[in-house]
Amino acid sequence: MNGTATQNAPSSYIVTSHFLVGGTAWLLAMILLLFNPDTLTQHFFNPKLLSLTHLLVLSWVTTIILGALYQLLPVILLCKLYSEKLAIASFILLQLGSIGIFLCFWNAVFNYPLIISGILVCLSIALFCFNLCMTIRKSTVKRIEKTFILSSIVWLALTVSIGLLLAINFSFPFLQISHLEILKLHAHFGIVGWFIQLIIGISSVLLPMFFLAHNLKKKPLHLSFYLLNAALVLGALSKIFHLEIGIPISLLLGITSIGAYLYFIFIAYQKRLKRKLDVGMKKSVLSLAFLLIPLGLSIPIFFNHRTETHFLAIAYFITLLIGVISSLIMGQTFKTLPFIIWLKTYKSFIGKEKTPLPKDLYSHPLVRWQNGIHFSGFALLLFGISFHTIILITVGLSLLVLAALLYYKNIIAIIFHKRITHGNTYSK
Amino acid sequence: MKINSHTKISTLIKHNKGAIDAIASLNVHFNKLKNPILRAVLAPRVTIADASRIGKCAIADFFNKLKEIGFEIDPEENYTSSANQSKDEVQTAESLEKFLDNRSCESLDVRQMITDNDDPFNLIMSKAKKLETNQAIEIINSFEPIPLIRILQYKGFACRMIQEGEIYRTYIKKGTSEISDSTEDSILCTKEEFDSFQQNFQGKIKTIDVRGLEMPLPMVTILQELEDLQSDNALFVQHKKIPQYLLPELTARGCKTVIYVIEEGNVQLLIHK
Repeated sequence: MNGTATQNAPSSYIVTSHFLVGGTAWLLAMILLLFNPDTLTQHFFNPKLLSLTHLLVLSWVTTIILGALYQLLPVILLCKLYSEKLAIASFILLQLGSIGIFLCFWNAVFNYPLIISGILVCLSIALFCFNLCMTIRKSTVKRIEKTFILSSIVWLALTVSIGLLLAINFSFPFLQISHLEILKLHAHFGIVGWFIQLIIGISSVLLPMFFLAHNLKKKPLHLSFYLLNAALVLGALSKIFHLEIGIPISLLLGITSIGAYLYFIFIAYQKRLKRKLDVGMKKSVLSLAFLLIPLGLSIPIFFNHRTETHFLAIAYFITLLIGVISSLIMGQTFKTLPFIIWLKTYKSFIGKEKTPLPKDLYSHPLVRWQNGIHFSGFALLLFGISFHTIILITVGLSLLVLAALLYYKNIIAIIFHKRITHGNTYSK
Repeated sequence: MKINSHTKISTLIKHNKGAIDAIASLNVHFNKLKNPILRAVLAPRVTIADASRIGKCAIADFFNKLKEIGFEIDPEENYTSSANQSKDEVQTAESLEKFLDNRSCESLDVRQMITDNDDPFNLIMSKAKKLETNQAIEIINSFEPIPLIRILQYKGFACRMIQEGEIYRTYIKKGTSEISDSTEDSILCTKEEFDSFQQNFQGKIKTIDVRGLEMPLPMVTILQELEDLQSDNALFVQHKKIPQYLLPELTARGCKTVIYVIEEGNVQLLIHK
């Protein structure tokens, strides 16, 4: 018989600060992209695209993922975050570094300011990794999801370290391997090792929870974990040691891994007790289905890697970043953020008086519009990139900006929600 | 299997039956483990740290014996952590007078029962429940009944233990706020412990199942039910997980929670005020 901690929940400001900055960065990046649509039709190694990509992956995706992670850790690991102060320090360093990298690339400054910004990001991630490892040490639960989280932060640390090496290599060339080849590793470690792996880890807890799907067999998740990491390691070794044969095997392992994960989610979806999905879950499920596009695109990119395939490479990354990861984040925001604000505002009134629910803290019609506009915008953008049509790209980006505005309006309404009584809520 | 001082004796035995003989060889007290009934009753309630205190042997001796039969000791284990745990429970004769404060004291020698392979737990609990404020019970035993003391304290009783050579005398009286402050707001327990807590509220338990509800309705439902719950009743909840965001609110509302994890996705809670 052991006492169990009762105060594992994080302070709400830790979570909300991440969502606020993340939402702002997303909106800003979409607006900047709209005014510079030609960045998407050039070779992917152009300063503005690099600049916006870093703003997106650091200040939007990584920031929101960290915020959501701080909220979910107690649920997944059954223990309290090791230090909230470290979380805040890591958050500030990450934003400073991200703004620095964004400005440097935008203005094509490739020397000391870029290196210093890279160091700030590395410091931020080091603090985060330390904080998370100390938290995981306290946790006694044994779950594959914990392994996913731990493994994904190893890839995050590798990604930012390689990023810093690349930044140094700009001013002081020392790398023996082609800068562009290392860039591919940097991008894949970040997107597949960090984002996709963490998304697999978190969503395999969250989605079945919201689906109300019980007693799922976790074998596909285990398979997915080993294959994904094997693919990344093999891919990296093949690039470093120029093993031609390693790349297709790595690609195959990666595709099988994602397939195993999608199979797990599909089974959860089929076994769900909650037949009618709400608007946030619909967006999440659809964005996961979009994972099939980059999986499909990766094959022609591989077979045509000696010919002109920049546009395919851009389409591949845009699909992963905007079609899958950003859509998933936008959908899941409405399943996580309202809860923490609702809890802070209403916890002492629950059961004693009629209180709204987390889903009453935001406007559902706005989310429905946001979903429709976001996916239409993404589809037009993808066509625009594939057929080199600036007009399609511009229309697509305009729609994405509009969707980002709707999203932003809703998260501001959630974060600055004031207590309402007598069931006076948004109409659904 | 990796073990530490908080590992339950039942877990060791479940993993390797050889643990029974290994532990019994440490000390005569532990011969009780060879009795299947006593084993079933005691082993899930006692950790290695508890057992080392009951049997008066070093945790290190335990670990050495268990290592011999293939258990692995958690390298981060801090042997000294449990050394002082029973300090508060072992009191001197002077403080006993103050503790009993002129209460009439009924004596209950359970040594024969234990020798006869009977578990005195239910007898003690039923006597404790009938205690008036001017009464106390003295339990005479041949070992320190740590699991009993914990359960009694959790249920709001006050306990003092005095050791005289081979004899352990445990005194039980109705609780005071001083004792209830020292107990935990929520505890994880075994099935046996959970059942005994449930027995305590027999006929006064409301049962709800929140496993099919979408977040945060389990929390809302539980808090609503608690508002309507009479103070001597308890709420039995079938849950999917240990509700991390609900526990702080239960503490804030002065509730106590007993948690029994059957398996992942299936948890039982007993909440009372």
